[in-house]
Amino acid sequence: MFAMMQDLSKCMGCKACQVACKSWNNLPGEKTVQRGTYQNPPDLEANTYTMMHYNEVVDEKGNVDWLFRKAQCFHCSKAACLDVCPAAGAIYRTKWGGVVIDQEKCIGCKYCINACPFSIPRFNTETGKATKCTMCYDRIEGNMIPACVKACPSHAMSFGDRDRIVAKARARAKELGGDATVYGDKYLGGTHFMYVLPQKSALYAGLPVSPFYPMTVTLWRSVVRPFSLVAFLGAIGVSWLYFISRGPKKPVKEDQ
Amino acid sequence: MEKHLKTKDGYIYVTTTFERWVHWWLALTCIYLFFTGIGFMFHSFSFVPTIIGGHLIPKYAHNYAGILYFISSICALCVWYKDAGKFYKYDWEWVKKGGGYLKPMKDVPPSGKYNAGQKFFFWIAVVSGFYMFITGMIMWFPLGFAPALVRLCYLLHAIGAVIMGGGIIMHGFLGTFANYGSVSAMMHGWVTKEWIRTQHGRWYKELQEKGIV
Repeated sequence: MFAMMQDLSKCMGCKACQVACKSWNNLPGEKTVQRGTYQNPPDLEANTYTMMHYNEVVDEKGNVDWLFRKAQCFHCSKAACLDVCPAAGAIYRTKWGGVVIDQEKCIGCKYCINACPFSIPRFNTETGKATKCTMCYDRIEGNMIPACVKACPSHAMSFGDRDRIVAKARARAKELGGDATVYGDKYLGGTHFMYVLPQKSALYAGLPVSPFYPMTVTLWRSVVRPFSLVAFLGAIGVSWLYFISRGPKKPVKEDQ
Repeated sequence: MEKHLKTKDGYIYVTTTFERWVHWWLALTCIYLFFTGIGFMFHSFSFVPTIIGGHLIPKYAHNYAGILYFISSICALCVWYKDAGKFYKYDWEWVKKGGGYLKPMKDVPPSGKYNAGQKFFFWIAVVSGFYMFITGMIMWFPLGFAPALVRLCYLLHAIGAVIMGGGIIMHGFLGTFANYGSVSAMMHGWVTKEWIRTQHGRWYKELQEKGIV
C-alpha cells in the first residue's frame, strides 16, 4: 500500500502538480475569469483532479500568512464513495491503495459525490460520469511515481510505502513544532494522501476540520441492508410456513 | 358503482378494466424497481442489472419506471380510496383478530369490499409511491441539494424499499396461494359468489340487499 504526502511547509504554490496532473491525464483547461487570486479554477472540476488552494490568513497580531494547499482525493482507507457505489466495480481500490472511478463502469448516479466527506468527486456533464484523482494508478503500474509528485520542484510532495510516508510526515510535523500537525493519517481509517500542516487545519479554506464517514451510510450499510434481506426472506419464509401449515382459504359453499 | 355490477352464470364482475390496468402497472413497475433496486443495493445481486444491460441502462430505466410508479400510485389513490381508503369499526375488529390468519378461528369479523389488511397495503402502496418519488427525485438530481439531505434520502429510499418490498411479497402471497379465487379479481374480474361470501362477508350482505347476488 502506497501513500502520498504533501508537506505544506515546503510548498511554494507553483502549481506544477496541477499542470502535471492535467498533462498526464489529458485534461484540457477550462476558460476562467480573473478573480483576483492565483486560485484557478476556483474549485475542483470534472477535468481538474487536483488544484492549488491559496488563502491569506491574518493572525491576532496582524501578521499575514499565505497558505498553499493542493486539493485532491484523499484515497480513504474507509472510503464512503466506494462503499455507496451501486454499480459493481465502478469504484474500486487498487492494490496500491488508491480509490479509482472506472469511467467505463460508472453510471453517473452521483452517489459518491454526496457521500465523500471531503467533497472531492465531480460530475462530468459531457460524459455523464463522476471523476476524481486516480492516484496515478496508470503510472504506478509502469513503475512511475504519480505525476504531481514527479513534478514538484520543492520536494513538498512525497510518495512511497504508506507506513514510511506516515512516519516521515509525523517526523516532519514534530520537527516543525508549534501548531504543525499531520492531517489524514488517522481520518477515515487512515487516508492514502495526507498533509503536513504547519498551521491549524481550520485556517485552510475548504479543508474539513474533522471529516467523518457519513452516519447515514453506516446505517444504510450496517442496518438497512442486512435488515432488508431478513425482511424479504422473512416474508417469503412466513408465507411458505403459513401455506404448509394452514393451507389456502377456499371459498365455502353456502350450504356448508 | 355496485349497482351496475355485471353477473353471469353465478360469477360477479367485481373490478373494472381500468382498475386492473392500474393494479398491473403498479405491480410491474414496482417489481422492476424492486429487483433493479436490489441490484444497486447489493453488489452480489449485480447480475440483475447485468441481464438487463449493464448498470447504466437499468439506472435510467429505474428512474423512469419510478415516474410511472408514481403516476400509477396517484391513479391507485383515485381508484381505490373510496373502497379501501377509510377504516371503520369492523376493520379494527378484523385487525384485533389478525384477520383470522394468525391462528385458526371461526368468527373472523366479516370485511367489506376490502379487508383491513388490504386497506393497510393500499395505504402503504400509495404513501410509498409519493415517498419513493420524492426521495428518488432528490437522488436523481442530487447536485442542487445539500449533501446531508441527499445522503438522508438514500437511507430513507432504502427503508421505503424494505417496507414496500416486504409488502409486495406478502401481498402476492395473500392474493394467490393463501386465498383461492382472489387472483381472478385482478386477472379477468369475474369472481364467484362463494368467494365474496367467504372473503368479504359484509360486502356480500350489501350486495344481497341490492339484489345482485
